[in-house]
Amino acid sequence: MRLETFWGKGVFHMISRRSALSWLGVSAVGAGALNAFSAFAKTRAANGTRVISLESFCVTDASQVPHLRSYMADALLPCMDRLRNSRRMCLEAIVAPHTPQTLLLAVYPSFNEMLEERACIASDPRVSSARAKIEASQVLDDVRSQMLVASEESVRFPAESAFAKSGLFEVRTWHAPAWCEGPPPEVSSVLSRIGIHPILGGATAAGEHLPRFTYVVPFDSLAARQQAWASLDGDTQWTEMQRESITRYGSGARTTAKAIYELAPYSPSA
Amino acid sequence: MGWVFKIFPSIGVARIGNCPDDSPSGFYVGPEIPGSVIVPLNGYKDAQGRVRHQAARFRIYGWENGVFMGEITSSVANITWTVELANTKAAFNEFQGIGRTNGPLRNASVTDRSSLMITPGPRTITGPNGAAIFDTGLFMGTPVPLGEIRTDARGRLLVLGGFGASSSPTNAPLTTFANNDGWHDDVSDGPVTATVTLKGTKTPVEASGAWVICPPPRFAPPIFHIITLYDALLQTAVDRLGYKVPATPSFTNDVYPILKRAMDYQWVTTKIGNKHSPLQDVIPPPATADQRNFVFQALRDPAITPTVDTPHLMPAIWTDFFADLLLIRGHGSPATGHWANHALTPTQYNVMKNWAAGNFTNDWVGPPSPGTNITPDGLTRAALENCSGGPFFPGIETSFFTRDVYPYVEPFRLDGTQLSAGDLSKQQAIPWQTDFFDCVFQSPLSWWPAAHPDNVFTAGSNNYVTWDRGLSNFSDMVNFWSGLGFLVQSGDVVIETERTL
Repeated sequence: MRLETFWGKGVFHMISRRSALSWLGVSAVGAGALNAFSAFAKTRAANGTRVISLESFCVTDASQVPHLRSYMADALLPCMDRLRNSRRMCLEAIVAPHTPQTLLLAVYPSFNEMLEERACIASDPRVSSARAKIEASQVLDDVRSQMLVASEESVRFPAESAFAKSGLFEVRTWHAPAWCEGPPPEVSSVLSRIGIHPILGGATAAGEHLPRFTYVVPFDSLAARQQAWASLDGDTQWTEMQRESITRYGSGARTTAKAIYELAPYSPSA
Repeated sequence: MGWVFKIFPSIGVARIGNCPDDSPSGFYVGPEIPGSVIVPLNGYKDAQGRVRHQAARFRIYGWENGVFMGEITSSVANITWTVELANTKAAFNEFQGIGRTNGPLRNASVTDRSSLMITPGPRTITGPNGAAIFDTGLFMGTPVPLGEIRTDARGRLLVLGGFGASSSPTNAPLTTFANNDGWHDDVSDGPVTATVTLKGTKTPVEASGAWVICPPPRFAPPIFHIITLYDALLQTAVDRLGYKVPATPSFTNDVYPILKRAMDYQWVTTKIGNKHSPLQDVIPPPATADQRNFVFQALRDPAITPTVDTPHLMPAIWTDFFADLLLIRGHGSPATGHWANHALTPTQYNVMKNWAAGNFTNDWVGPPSPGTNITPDGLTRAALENCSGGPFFPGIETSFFTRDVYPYVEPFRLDGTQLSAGDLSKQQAIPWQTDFFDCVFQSPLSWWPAAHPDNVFTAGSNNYVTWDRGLSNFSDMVNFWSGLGFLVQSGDVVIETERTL
């Protein structure tokens, strides 16, 4: 979808389809949508959980990447820094269904605090000015939002000291009918045993094909990544978990989306 | 299962040009998004009036364990591209019409058949910013360059075709529209293959291959053929591969393009006048059943034997089976009423039939915008919808072999293991300029006005002019083709620009 449609007459269509969660569309969110979302937030963001927003900025073409980098590094991230001292990470896609693409991950204590911050950002004059510039230049083709709910211990950045040195990051989403109460503890132990150490793992808060779980996993290289997933496929405990899931739910944990990123040069922790 | 890599577009189109500048500003890349029209910022011609090459850009997309991952570039993989271009027209059979594939050989008196085949062989590039030239092919001992390949900074492949140079080393005359012995041109085609080695791994993986066609320029980019090569090869996929199209057509995506193309023919032929005004009446949908039926009843049913006359039915373009028609009773005229026209594909016809019956999705919110998102299937569609899908007599970009004969491994992807470089162009006219000259309006029907406009408007004039005015014979087209004007959208009208004759 073209940006003028996103920001223009089509914005409410996008909001209803994408849960009113975009940075860029937040200023136009109707009150009804916000209220409904707040109610949802109160029920889900209990103590000890965190809300993670994943915003994918899909750039029209490679020549526009510098404009988005400038927007992120000079306007959006400084504004977020002024508002709140929270954990954030910016990734740039190297293999993804849409490239160029920048993914902004931000961690919040609750949905309400996320919404408050977004409202402040939407009214920030510097961000507005910068946003107007990238709108005029048609820098963005689309902006996609995803919300995750995660436990505090499954958010391991930037505390995971080595992650910033990783060569690449995979964002992988599983649709796992057997994990309706969350991934069983065995999942973490299997992943850890074969060398897969997510710096983030959370349940998708809303949308299709639930329950859905998204992990951000650092790898040293493509080869290390390939070897790690091959090891998982060959792991007897994982295979047995899959078999049980298929027996009980008709399906195992199925990868529905994955993309590979590298840390953006302007990212916090870069 | 691991990684699967595929090259897109599965059939790419790199159009020839006589502008020798192969720097990035010297050529332009062809459409990569369906419905888009490329207008180079610096024009279709250079300052000397030479036509710029339209390059074909090929990309590799990856699937891992069945999950679509996206484009694979040199940032994550070492990519080795191999392309072979060839022109084997002069060694192939004469074109005598569709289904008549056993005609006498062209240049039958030449015993060394290889001397008639311009076959420089394959070229290979590894990594970004590479280049290689197809400059070693010979025709009767005369060098005939067929173009070049290069890779961009991200390791994508660019193919640039020939230069529009056609000649006869034996000074033979040009006597027919399709079969001129002693002549060559420099259009070509051939396979595009690639091996992909993900960084950090050691095992190269062969990508599913593609094909490139290097045909003549497209002088009317905003005007699409009623039946595009995409439509024709979609039908091939339906007929031979069991490909399923939606049972209920979308007005915006399926019906409207057919109506729009028909209406747009007003910019390339005088023959429409106000006859297409009923098409305007059915936009926006739903229109009345009578209005829709009126349009549908004007279409020729593709189930009718191709040589049977269907006076006054649409589209008003000649049949593939023109030669058969000629043998049966001489070609038609308004006086005799003999005009066997080319029907829409059965899939297109069914779309219109369903629409007329009210069985369609009314998803109309205005003319669809091409958007900006590049997708694998979109790359293929964008390339093929800019080519003619008929009539193939013999055709402009490729022949009926591509539609009716050659094998496919999946929709729109030829089985390269069973084809040779040059196969997609070998049945085309030699040189291309003779057929291109000849395929103007031939009463009472047109040939392919979206490729060779019959009549056009110029800036500031409300009167049609003949598009190829000033060219009066085959030789003129060989010598002066690059002087012909390009058509561009200018507000609500389409006008001729950059004419340099």
